[in-house]
Amino acid sequence: MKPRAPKPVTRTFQCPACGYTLELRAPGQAKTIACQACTSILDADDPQHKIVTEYREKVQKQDIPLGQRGTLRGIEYECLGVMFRQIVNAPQYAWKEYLLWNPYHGYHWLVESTGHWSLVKPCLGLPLMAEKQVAHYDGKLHTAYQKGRAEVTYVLGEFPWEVRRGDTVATLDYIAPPHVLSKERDGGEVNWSYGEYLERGEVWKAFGLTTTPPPVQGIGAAQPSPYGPMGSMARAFVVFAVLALVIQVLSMALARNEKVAADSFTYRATDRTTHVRILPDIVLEGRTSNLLIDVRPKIDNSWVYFNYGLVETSTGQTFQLGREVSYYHGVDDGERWSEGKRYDKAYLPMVPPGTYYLNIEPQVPPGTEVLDYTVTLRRDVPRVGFFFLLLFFLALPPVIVFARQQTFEHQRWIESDF
Amino acid sequence: MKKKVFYYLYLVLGTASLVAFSGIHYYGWGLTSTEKLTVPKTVRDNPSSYRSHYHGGK
Repeated sequence: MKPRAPKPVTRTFQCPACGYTLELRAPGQAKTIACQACTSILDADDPQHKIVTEYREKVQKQDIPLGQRGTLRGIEYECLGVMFRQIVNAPQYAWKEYLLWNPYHGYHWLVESTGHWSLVKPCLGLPLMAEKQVAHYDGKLHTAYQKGRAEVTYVLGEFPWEVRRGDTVATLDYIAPPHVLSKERDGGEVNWSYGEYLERGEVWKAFGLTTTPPPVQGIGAAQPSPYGPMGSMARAFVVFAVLALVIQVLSMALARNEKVAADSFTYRATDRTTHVRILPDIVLEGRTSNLLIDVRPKIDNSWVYFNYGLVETSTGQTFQLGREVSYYHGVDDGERWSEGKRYDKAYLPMVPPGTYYLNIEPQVPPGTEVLDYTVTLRRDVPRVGFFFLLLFFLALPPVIVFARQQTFEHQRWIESDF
Repeated sequence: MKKKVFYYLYLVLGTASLVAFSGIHYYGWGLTSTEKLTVPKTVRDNPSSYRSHYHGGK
């Protein structure tokens, strides 16, 4: 059973500054209360609630109304007060701290800064300073992120200590997203607190708020990276790469790579019967697999274009393709060069088993009288190219995520003082 | 959970890639462009009568 906060025991009184009826939600705990009408700060302990500091100001906007109850991370809280703070002389670095109260768990804070939220609790023990700028707490190392002097600029509601506008403390935050470890030093007194980043939707849902949350700006100090831990993705890549290698090696070991036909031919321009040649009785057995057509014409500074037709004799299923072989070489300015190859390897994909013949029809440059060439057919030939293509493909997501993660962290640490 | 979405997506993508990779090897899939057609029995019975539709070259 989760401990639920008991029904509130409240005490009401009139604000001595403006006459507004105020409600003390944690009587006996509160030391000061700031009027929700005129913002004057009153002594909550004093029976007459004497004025500590009088203000006559319009109440500033807050996202969680005082007295609002909500359940966050299994604890039911009541919002007792809100404190606006900023880094001294730096209003661009301002944040709001909502004081939450649960009679069994005490006081916690809900901190909002540039649209980012975190639930902050007092530390249960003193953090260990592992080294300069690194603090060890709750089994994790936290890195120094920001330091400054924080000033209270506005308060509303009740607080268990004497709070005044203009109060300052030295602050130092360490982060290990989604956690933030905060140190506040006021003279000789040091307070440590530990916060965890919250999605704003969680806060709104917890307190049943219907207003629009403040817009999110930039990256929160303790905001967890949406790209997750890089290590697990890198490990997954290594596992995939090893499995791919195993598949590749197995496929190479088990591939039949069988020569199923081979012949040599001569093309003669004057003999039309040599213009189309046939490789007959090609028996392809086993499962559907690839078929390599390896052609090697005797060309030199020339080209030849081969039209192939692989015809299954019983079904008539035919694979047609055309392939060019060209090879040129020479010497330019004393440098040897060459272009193209004297052979061509064409892999016919997914050729079913059956009995075939291969029709070969070479086209040659004008003036070619004779062309000798050999044709070899191999069945179930292992290929290596797809392995490297797969490695590239598998490496892309981790590389992209790593790059985005680095950008995310860079943006986070732009705001750091360290 | 949310921060691990990319990781889980990657696991699915990687596993699917390995399955596809195995299939490529097993069935001899490839990128070579071929035209598939069915030739009539008269051509099958007389291989020298077959003429490719390809007439590339220079």
